[in-house]
Amino acid sequence: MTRPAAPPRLARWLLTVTLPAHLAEDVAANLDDLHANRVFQRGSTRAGLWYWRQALWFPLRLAMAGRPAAPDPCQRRTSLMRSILLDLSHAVRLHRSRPGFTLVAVLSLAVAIGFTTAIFSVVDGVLLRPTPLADFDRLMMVWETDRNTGTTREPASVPDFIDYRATARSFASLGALIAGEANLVPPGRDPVRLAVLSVTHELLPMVGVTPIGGRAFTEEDARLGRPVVLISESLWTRMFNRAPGAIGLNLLLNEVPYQVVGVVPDATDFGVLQVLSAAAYARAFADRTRRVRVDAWLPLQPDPEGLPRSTHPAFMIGKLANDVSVLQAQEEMTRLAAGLEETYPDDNTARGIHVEALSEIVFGKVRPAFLALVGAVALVLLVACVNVANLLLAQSEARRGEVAIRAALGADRLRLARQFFAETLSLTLVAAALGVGLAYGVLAWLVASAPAEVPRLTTAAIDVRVLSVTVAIAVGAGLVFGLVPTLQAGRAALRIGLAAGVARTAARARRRSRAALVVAELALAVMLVAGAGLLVRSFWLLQQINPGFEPSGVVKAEYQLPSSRYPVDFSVWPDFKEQHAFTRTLVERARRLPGVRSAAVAGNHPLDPGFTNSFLVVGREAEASTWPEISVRRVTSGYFETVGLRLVRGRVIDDRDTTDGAPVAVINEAAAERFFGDGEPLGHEIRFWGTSRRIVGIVANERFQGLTTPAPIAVYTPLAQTPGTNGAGVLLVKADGDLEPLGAALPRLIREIDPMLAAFGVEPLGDTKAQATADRRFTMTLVGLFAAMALALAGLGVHGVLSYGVAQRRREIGIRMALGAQPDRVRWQVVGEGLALSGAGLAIGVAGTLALSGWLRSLLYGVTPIDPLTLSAVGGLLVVVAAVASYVPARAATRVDPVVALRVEA
Amino acid sequence: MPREALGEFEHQVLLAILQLGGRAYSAPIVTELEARSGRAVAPAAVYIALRRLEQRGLVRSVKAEPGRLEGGRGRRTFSVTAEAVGKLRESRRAFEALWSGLDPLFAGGAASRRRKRP
Repeated sequence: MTRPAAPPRLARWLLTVTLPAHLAEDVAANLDDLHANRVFQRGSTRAGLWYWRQALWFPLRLAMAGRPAAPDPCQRRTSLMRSILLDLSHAVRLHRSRPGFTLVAVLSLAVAIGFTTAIFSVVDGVLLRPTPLADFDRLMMVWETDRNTGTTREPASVPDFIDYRATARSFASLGALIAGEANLVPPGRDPVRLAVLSVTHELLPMVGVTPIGGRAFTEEDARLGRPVVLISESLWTRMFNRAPGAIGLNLLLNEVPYQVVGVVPDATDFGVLQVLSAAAYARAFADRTRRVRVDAWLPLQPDPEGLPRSTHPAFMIGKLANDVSVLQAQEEMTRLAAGLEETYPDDNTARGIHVEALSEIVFGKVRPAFLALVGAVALVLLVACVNVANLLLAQSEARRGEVAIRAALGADRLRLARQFFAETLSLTLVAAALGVGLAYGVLAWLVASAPAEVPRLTTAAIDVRVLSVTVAIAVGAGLVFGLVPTLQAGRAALRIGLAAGVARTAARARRRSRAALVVAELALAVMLVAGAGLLVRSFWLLQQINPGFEPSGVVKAEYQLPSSRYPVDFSVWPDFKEQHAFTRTLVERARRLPGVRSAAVAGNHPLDPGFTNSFLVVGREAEASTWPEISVRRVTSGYFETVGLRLVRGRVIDDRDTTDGAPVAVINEAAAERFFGDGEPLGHEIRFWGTSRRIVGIVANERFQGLTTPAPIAVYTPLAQTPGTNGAGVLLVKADGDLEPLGAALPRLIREIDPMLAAFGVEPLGDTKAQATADRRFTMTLVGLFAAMALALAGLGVHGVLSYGVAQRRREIGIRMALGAQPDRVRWQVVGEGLALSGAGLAIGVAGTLALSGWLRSLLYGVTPIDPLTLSAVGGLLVVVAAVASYVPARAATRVDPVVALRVEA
Repeated sequence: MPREALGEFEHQVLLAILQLGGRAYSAPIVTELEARSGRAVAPAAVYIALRRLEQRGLVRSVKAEPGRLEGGRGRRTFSVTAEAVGKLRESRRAFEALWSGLDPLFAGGAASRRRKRP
């Protein structure tokens, strides 16, 4: 008989190292026998596999079966499992024995992990994760431009779009959308307001919207004028309880029946709000301050009467043809635009085309803010890691004695390393668990409170990759900083008794490295606090802006009159009797509401950009061809009083200005200055929409293109003389005292007059104004929070390093005190060290701020990134924090009892 | 009950040792159990059972000095104690009392599942 095959050597080795020593020899010998048996019975391959299974399972089974039998008293090795458990329980005991350290380390790491993960997840969802479309990058916004006004982002007219679609070769497909709103009256419920998009049949497939039920639009829908509608998933759920039978039913939109042909998933968002907000005007529901979801899609039907070449409501989106660059597309479109300019001089003079990547529109505005947030949160994570590293370093320092004793008793370096590994790991794992929980909470909060401008926020979810990277960074930092010095301590340990001087030198080096870490923390904190300070100052300056109107005490409510019952007949314009009657009744009854001081109806509320129109001044027709368009604001009497717009000269629009009255207009100061200079505008006539209107007054500038944009030139006309053709209106009411009841009273009032109308956008004008800066508030709040965290952590770092220094020099301080040193001097020496640290941190931090200042520039308003006031305030704050943080150890230093200090071994 | 009853597997391990002459290393115990029960037995399970039996005083073990026994390696020999024999007797009696009269019900069943020893 040949010698039986030997068991796999690696498996056997594994067995011997993982089993407790007192078992290993016996188990191995017996398994060898059994293996030999098996080779005989089943062949060596299966026996080998069996042996491997035993090698892996044996130690685990044994460990799981509970405590091993009483070990031999002289054993040196214990099983791996058991020693890991031992390490862990030792670590837990250690953490519990120093709750302060543990709490600070765990909380700072948890907060950093939580926030970093949440912010990165949002950024990943919004900016980084590929959009549902593989070729989102090939999608282009095709804007019209106006050389007179200098605007580069205007929607096109529908006839222009049709011409471009027919002739442009640069685009594989060119679609258009018109945003609007419609009233929906669900049976037995109050009317609701829906955001509606009219789209050409090319558009939805191009931007990646595919119905989950039913069909998309076809070219025929528009050509045959079919009354069909696609509804959103959420409307489908709300109205039809997700019944498949909904397709084919009719939906009353603005009291006109449309047949539902398909359902569109909610998750699709190509950034329609961003597209609409980017336009110079014609924004529709994008001006609503809350986040809006499109709930209905209609086929865009060309209408030469209602949508002539002079009206520009259509947003064109195109997909570049293969091998066509943006530049080539721009060239072709410019050529085509020039052709149209020649063919239609009345409507297209000075009109060009601007081709721009859709991704730039959708993400361009949020990208800088998000990058700043990512930077800020990464800095916090860094500070937290540095802080924990610092704490661990301090710990390893404090435990040098323990390490030395254990090393002397025969603990090898691996054993020591494992122990410290267990300590760091248990700390970071607890922090990571807390951090994950926190990340979910923070993400939910971010999604709920982020401004409406942030696109695709619904797609943000905690990303496991992000989470694992964050945790890995935290653990890694802990390990590197906690482990390396420990091992050094272990190596140096044996020499301590022989050469105390060497050890002391080493200690000094370690203290220096701790001080360096603290300086790093301080520098990072300075950068964050400086950034936050700049954002706060920008925000404060924004709040100081006088928008020209006074929002306090004003509530607004919007509505839209359907043309079915409020006919829009251009042959009788401006005498739209039904619309005027509604407006009159509404204003009269609103003025009679309790507590109301004044009320008015306007075409657009303050901060709503509205629309612009070309115009001329009678007698100066020649100049007009180079004049920019003017913002036209249609208002009833009481508007200027209600929104607190100051009259400069002349008179405001009042009840005299009826439909039959002489046509009048009021211009703002910007227009008076731009077109009349030092001359007197009153008495001149301004002409647009085929009517000359006498200028009767000049009012102060009112900002309505956002708070940061200076007031554009504007003309106010009586609503009775210039009714809207889309029926849109906003009721503005100024009242004394509590505005809460008005929030319910205004919609009730509107429905009392017309039960089928939906009131929307009901909110205090103050909220509307606040929403205008919501994105800045959001960024500022987050960066401020991060800065506070970093500053607190840096303060702890300073405190830690000084406390340790004091503890180390107890003997020295004791001797000095015994020799009569003044407590004040000792105290100042410690505080001085803290201030020196903060000075170094401040210098590096300011340098870092200057280096990174470009990042912040686009988020600031009214301050430069190198704002001396902010930077000096930051410096002052840092010095205060450092002084406070060092005062505690300074006091401890002077409490040293010389007698005790001299007895204690240094 | 004053003392913990024998678990089924512990019972089997004790019987296997007795089958092997009252003294055995763990490997033959494994082999014996496999041969008599006809199914694979995990060596670790045998170890755990032996450890528990030893803690309860039902087996004793002696570790041989390396080199004195065959193979020259320090194996542990397990032997059944008198207490264990008493326990086995006790449990056998209890089982037999429960089994008595049930033979017609199980005629020919139990034995047929046994596999032959190699």
